[in-house]
Order: sequence, then structure tokens, then C-alpha cells
Amino acid sequence: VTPDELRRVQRTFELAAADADRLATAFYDHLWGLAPEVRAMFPDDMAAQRQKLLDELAAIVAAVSDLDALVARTAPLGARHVEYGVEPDHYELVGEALVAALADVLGVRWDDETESAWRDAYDLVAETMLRASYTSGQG
Amino acid sequence: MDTTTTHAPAHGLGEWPFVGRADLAHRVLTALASRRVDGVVLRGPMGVGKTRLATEVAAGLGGRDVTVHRVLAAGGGAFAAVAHLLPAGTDTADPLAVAAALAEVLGAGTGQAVVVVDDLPSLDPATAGALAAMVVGGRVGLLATARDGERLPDAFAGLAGSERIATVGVEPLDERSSATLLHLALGGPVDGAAAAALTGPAAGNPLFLRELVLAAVEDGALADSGGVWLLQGDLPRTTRLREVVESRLRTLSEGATAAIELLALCQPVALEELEAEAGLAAVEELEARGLLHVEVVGRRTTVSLDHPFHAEAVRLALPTLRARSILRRHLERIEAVEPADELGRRQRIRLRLDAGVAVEPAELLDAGQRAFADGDLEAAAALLGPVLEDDPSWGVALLAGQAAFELGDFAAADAALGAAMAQAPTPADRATIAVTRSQVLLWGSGSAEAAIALLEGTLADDDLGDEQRALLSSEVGSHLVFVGEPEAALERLDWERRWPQVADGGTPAFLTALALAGRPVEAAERARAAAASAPTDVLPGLVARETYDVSLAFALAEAGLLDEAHAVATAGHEQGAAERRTLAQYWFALLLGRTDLLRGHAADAQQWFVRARAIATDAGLGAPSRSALVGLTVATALLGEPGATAAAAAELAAAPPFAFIGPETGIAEGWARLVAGDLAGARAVLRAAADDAERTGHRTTAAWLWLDLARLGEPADAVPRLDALAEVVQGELVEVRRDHARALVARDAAGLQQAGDRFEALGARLLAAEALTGAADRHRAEGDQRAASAAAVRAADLLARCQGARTPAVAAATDAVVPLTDREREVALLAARGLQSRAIADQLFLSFRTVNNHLQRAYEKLGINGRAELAGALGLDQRAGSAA
Repeated sequence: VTPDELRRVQRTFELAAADADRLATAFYDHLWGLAPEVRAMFPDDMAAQRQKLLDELAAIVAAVSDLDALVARTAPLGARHVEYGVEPDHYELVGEALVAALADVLGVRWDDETESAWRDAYDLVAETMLRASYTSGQG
Repeated sequence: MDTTTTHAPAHGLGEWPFVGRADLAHRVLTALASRRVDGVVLRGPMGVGKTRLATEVAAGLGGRDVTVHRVLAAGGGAFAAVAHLLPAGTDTADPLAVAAALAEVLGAGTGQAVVVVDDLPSLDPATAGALAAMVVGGRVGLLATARDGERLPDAFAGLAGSERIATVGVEPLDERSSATLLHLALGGPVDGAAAAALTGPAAGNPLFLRELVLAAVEDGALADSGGVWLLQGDLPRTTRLREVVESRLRTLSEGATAAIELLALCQPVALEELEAEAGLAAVEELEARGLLHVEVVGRRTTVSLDHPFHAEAVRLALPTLRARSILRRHLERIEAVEPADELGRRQRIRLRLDAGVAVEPAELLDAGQRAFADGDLEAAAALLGPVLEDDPSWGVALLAGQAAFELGDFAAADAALGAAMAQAPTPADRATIAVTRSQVLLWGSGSAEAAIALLEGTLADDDLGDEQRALLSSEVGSHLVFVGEPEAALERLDWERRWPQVADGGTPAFLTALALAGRPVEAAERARAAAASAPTDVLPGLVARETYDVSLAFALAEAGLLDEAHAVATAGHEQGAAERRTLAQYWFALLLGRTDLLRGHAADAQQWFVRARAIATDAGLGAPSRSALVGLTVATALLGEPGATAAAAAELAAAPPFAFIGPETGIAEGWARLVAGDLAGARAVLRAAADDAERTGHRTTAAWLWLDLARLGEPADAVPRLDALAEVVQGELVEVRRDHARALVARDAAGLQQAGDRFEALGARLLAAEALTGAADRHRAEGDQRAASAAAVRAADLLARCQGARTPAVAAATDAVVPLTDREREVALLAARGLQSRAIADQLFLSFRTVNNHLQRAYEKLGINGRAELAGALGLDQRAGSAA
């Protein structure tokens, strides 16, 4: 991920966070549309879950340009997701849902370069979560 | 501005991150742990990350209470790969004892066990056999890696296509994963220009990327500037991995260079020896540069180079005398310990030879004879060669000559056998040697005439017995096939009288002549009978059972039984490769290419012909390499690569003459002219070659040539000749060729349709696509739009599986349809049957992302919006029931 892309991700996240509720709702709607089977992994009442998502996203975006800080944040998160029953290919679906939700919320401010930056950054974040979570269990 | 490199040691030079493969690793792991498959073979190009993927999966299996055993395949002899697993005192000379001990060790745990074999192709045959039996029996799972294009050991070759052993293609990383890998490896963001300069040349190959990054960091071209990695100098200006590695190795200290040279020649090396030789600092330097792989087995710690590629690069650059002195010092250090078994003894003797240390001739002879008996031909040739210099007795010479011949070293074989003939005590011995030597002459110089002259000269000896005369005379007949006279060869061979033992079959040369002369069905039957009944020791020269399979595969292809021919040739090629028999590999590669041409698998055919040509070049097969060049010319022409076609045709024109299936040259010349835009010239060449083929009795070749003429727009001339040939030539292929030509003349939609159906049933997809394209045109002209579009869709479907082959007869169809790749098609077919992407990923062992990428490209090519339209676009609903 290039420094330009990281700045773009942080800038656009700030814009999207202004409409935080809509972002979280759109994310889960997209995720369940893409993978109905994962709905069962979440509670019926999603209000608390949406807040958790937004907090986590904000923390990750804040840390994304410092790899050590990022890994400190994402490694335990990745390990917890194994316990939730999340499988590696779910990461792809989550990425799609996130990109779609951001596009919804940002509207005309969403463009190809922004999408590419988010996809690259998400790939980095996903890899740090996945790193050895499913095999040797250590980074 | 301050430049710091604090991140590099922490993230970059330790273990390289594992990126982009978590999904695939998880699928492989789950499939093995749940016993959905008995084994997985990870296939891919060098450096793509097969070994790393296997290591990650193995670690995950360990976490699931699966016992993981590692086998050390390293090209050793019998059971070398599992020696470390066996209890002390196991008799490695007794295969049954080893197999039993192995079964006990691997089955010892309470739960499941998986054996990890890195580089399965170099596993010794004995271990492969024992392991395959256990895998098939469900007693142990297999997780193996294999470089693209390398043949699996015999015991696994047949299994790898089965449902229980999955072959998983490990593909290069996509661009996004490459960028992420770079970010994680360097421990921080990488400037866009730097990232592109590194990931571009690496093209998704993690090894290449790693070498580039390490080279750039080591010489300061890539540096961390205020938390961002920037290019601050020039990267190595090369797109070749070997050059990058070499430039990196040049910057090592003197001690580290000494250590790396010792490893390249002798690895694995005991850690104590390496430290004693090069010093601790040098070993640490190599480790810090990520060049070492340390292995602890029991109380021994051994060290190897991290990647086989590094060893190859060092060995290539090492001068001979320096290599010798390194080997000598290594020998001095290890001589104190006696080798444990026959194999260790053989390796020790070869090490002494390589080091230039004197070895007793008796010891060499004994080891050489044992190696020959074990089928370790390379060792036999290496050991017997030096014996021959001191003791040119005929027995030694014969053995050395046979080993050299099988390995494709014709000059050495001819010299050894010449010496053997001069010394052979009896006429019978001379006759036996003459038969072998005549084959060396035939294949080495391509001169059937010289081979025949040698045999005739030997026949002039008055002291010969009847049996030897028969042997020599029949061999003359064999060679006549290669003079381009199949009919004369059939008469001269007179095999029934001379070889009553194989009365149901015939010699391989006889069978080949029979197929060429138009009786391929009979030839195939006889080849089967002969292979089943012939005791190989009664046959002349070096006839091995597999030689019958050459005749069998050839005859099956000529009869039009293409899939069967392909299967026989595949098995033969694998065996030939496992035993390193040069001629066997050459012939089977050639037959595979030829069969793939007929099947319309143009790209596969091209690869087989390239391989055959490489074997021929390595072995110095002069004239016989023509057949590979013929195939290569035609395959590249079908693939629309005019430059490559012209190059192959020029190479063919310059190759020495060889009369074996000589008229096939016309097929190559014809297609080369067509591609060059000279349609009239193409037709003239095909017509002349077809006449020539008929005149010399190459009847199946003639039928091929006449149909090609018809395909290039002159069916009227071809029909009477194909009519006549179909009367005398056996097999369905000639009939369909005739019917196709007839229907072209008659502009008969139903006839073309039927020819297409029958070609497809034979597996000849390209010909089927041509016939059906013709049928669609005729239906359209006759106003039957429905039948026309059905035929067109089928033609496009067939053509899509021809790996990019294009001919004038399908050119019209081509414009309308961009073919799917094999993988896209495979994924699309499963999706059309209603499978979700994740299920497809599970079934094909692809990552979820890869499946979706393939589907997306398939939609674009087919011009559709999604899954719902797939079945229609693939023509599945028109042909319900037959497609799946």
C-alpha cells in the first residue's frame, strides 16, 4: 500500500464516518446479501454490533500507516475471528461488503482511485488478521 | 535527511511473510484433515511458493492433532528419503522390511498421519512405491510439492489424476497480494514507483520478489526514508531471476562464499563441518541474508541452502578445479564414517570420482554393475566410464555402452560398443553387440543406412549360427522402417519365422511399419499381445517392454483412438522420465504432441514438441529431431504464431534428412506456407507430399495429408484418394476423414454435422469444430436458422477447448467468439450447474477470489451479465444431458 493510498483511505474514512450509522447498516446489508449464511454468526439485535464495527474500523484506519501498531490491533482480532467460526474466504466477502458500503455512503466522492486504495489497504489489514491464524497460530 | 533501516532486519530478513494464500491453505488443510482426499500435490513454477504453502498447511495439520512426518526427497537411492524415520537396524537392502518398518512408524500415532514430501518428483522409486501403497490404502495422507513440468515418480503418476489425490495448481500472486507482501516484508509502506519496480519484474513470483528486494536493500537501492520505502538507486537491470541471484551472491564475504560453495556441492552439510570450514561469522552472515535452511533431525543439525535455485546458481559458476578441491576436503572430513548401505557406498564412490580421488577399478566395477542392475543408469555410466579407461574388456564395455545409450550419450555409447565388439570372444557376442550398436548409429547419427551397413557387415561372418543370423537380419528389417520403406520392412522382418516366441505380436519396428502401412488396428492388438506375452530377453538389443508402448500409442493414434493413445503415451513418458531413458522420453513426448495435435489441444501439443526438441538437442539426436520440428511447425501455425512457425520451419529445413515418416514433413511445410499467406503453395506442398506418402506406403500419413488439402479448400481432389485409402486403411479415423471431405464437396449440412459428431467422439475437437462450422454455414444457407445456431454454438464450444487453435475453416466462427481459457471454462461449467463460488473453490482448490475473477472474465467474454445466463451461453440447454 503506498503512502498516497493510506492518506486517501484515512481522508475518505473521515468523510464516511460523518454518516456512521448509515455506513454500518449498509455494510451488514451488503454482507448478508453476499453471504446469507453468516447472518447466524451475529446477534439478532445489531445496534451494539454496529457500534463495535465502527470503533474497530476507526482504530484500524488510525493505525494503518504504522505496521507495528496495526498488527498489535489486528492480530488478536484475527485470532478472535477464528473462534467465531470465520473462515479465510469470508475475508473476501467482508472486503466486498465494506467497499460497497463506502461507495453507498460517499456517493459522488467515491471514485476508482479511492476504491483501489481501499481494496489495497483492506488486503493488508486482512493479511495481518489472517497471518498464521489458520495454520501455525503465530505471526 | 536521515535514513534508517530499523525495519529491515525485523521484518525483511527473517521469515518471509506468507501472503495471499491463507484461503487456499485452509482449503487444502481442511480437505486433508477431513479425509475428503487422500493426498494433495501442489504444482507450480519454481519460486511460486509451493514449499511454503506446504509448510503452512503442515503446521496447521499439526495444530489439529494430525501427526506430520517429513520425507526428504533429494534424488537419493532406494529409501534414502525415509532413512531418518526408520528405526536403527532396519535392513535398507530389503524393500519389504523397509516398507513394514515404515508402515509401523507412520501408523504409530493414535490419530491421523500425513506425510509431507517436498519435491515429489525427486523421491526415489523405492520410497515412492512404499508410500503410494500406504496412501492408496488410506493409512497415511500425502502432502507433496512438484515443480511444473516435472514427472511424478511412477508409483504416483497414475494416482495424481484420480479423485483421491488432488493436484492443486499454485499460481503466481496477483498484483494486490504482491504489494501486500512487499509492505509486510519491508515492515511499512512502499512508495508507488518502488513497488511497481519490484512487483513488475517479479510477476507474482514470491521467490523472485524476495531476491529483488534483498538485492535492493543490500546495495542500498531501496531504503527506508522517514517510514516510507523509496528507491534511491538503480535496481538490478534484469528480468532474469538467475542474474539477480548471482549479483547478490557476488557481494558475500570470502568466508561466506566458501560456505555457500561447500553447501552447493555437498548439501546437506553438518553444521559443525560448515563452521569448521568457513567459521561461525560466515555461517551467521548467510543466515542473516536469508540464504540458509537449518534442519534438526535427532541430535544432528544439518544446513542446506534455503532454495534449490541458489545451489544451482552457485554450482554453475564454480570452476572445476575449485569444485574438486572443495569436494576433497569434504571427503577427508566424512571418510572416517563408513556409509550405512549400498546407496551410501555408491554415493561415496561417486563423490571420490568427482573430487578426482583414485578409486580401485574393482570397486568401481562392482558398484557400476549394481547400479546398472538397480536401474540407476546415471550412476552406472558415471562409475563404469572410468573402469573402461583401465580395463576395456568387452563385458565392461557392453555395460557402459548400454548405460550411455539409454541415457542418450550416443558418442560415448558408440565408442564403448565399438571397443566391446573388437574384443568380443565369440560371433554370438559380436552379433548381440552389433544389434545394440546399430541402434546407437541409427539414433545418434540418424543414419539408418550406416546402421544397416554395420549389421550386414556382421552378417558376413561365416561362423555365425542360425539364431544370430535371424537376429541380425530382423534388425535390418527394423531399420528399413526408418529408411522410409514400411512395405519393404514388413517383408524383411519376416518376424513370424524368426520370432516364434512372439508369434501373436511382432517386434516393435514391425508393428510401427504395420501401422504406417495402414493396419493400425491390427498393430495395436499385436502390440498389446506382445507386451503381455513377450519375455523381453528373447528380443534383440535393448527392447524394453515400454518400446511396445511406443508402437501401441502410435498405432492407436493412427487408428483414431486418440484418448487411449494419449493415456498410453503419458504412462510411457512418465516411466521413461523416472528411469531417465532418453529415447523413451523423446518418443513418448513426440507421440503426446502428435496425439494432442489430432485432438486439437494445440498449446499442449506445442509444449510436448518443444520438450521433444529439447531432449533431442540435449542428446544430440540429429536427424530424428525432425519429427519434433514437424509437430512444432504445425502446432505454432494452429496457434497463430507466424514468427514461431517460420522459425520452426526454417530449423526443420536445415535439419539432416531422416526418412522415417518422411512425408509428414509436407504437413509442416504446408501449414508454414499457409501461415505465411501462400495458400497456393501450401496446397501444392500438401498434394505432393500426399502423393509421395502413398507411393512409399505411408498410408495413414497420406490420409492426413489429403484431408488437410480438403480443409484448405480443395476437397474435390482429396475425395477419390481418401475413398481409395479408406478401402485399405483400418480404423475409424480414415473413414471420418473421407466422410468429411465428401461432405465438403457435396456441401452437405447433414454430412458435415455427422462428421463433426464422429470427430468429437474420437476426441478430435478441432476437426469436429471445423466440420460443425461448415454445417452451421450450410444450415444457414438453407434457411434453417435453428439448426445453424445450434451447430455454431457447438463449434464455438469445441473450439474454446482447442487452446487457441485457429484454422481458415473456423475463422468465421472465431470472430464471433472469444474462447474461454480451460480454467474459466471449468469454473463456468460448475457455476452453470448451480454451484456457488465457495463450493467451486473447494472442489477445484482455488481461492475464493480466484474463482470470482475467473467467473467475471467468463461473463465478459461470453457477453452476459451473470450466472443465470451461463447455461445458455455455454450451449448447455441446447444439448441438455450431454454436456455435464
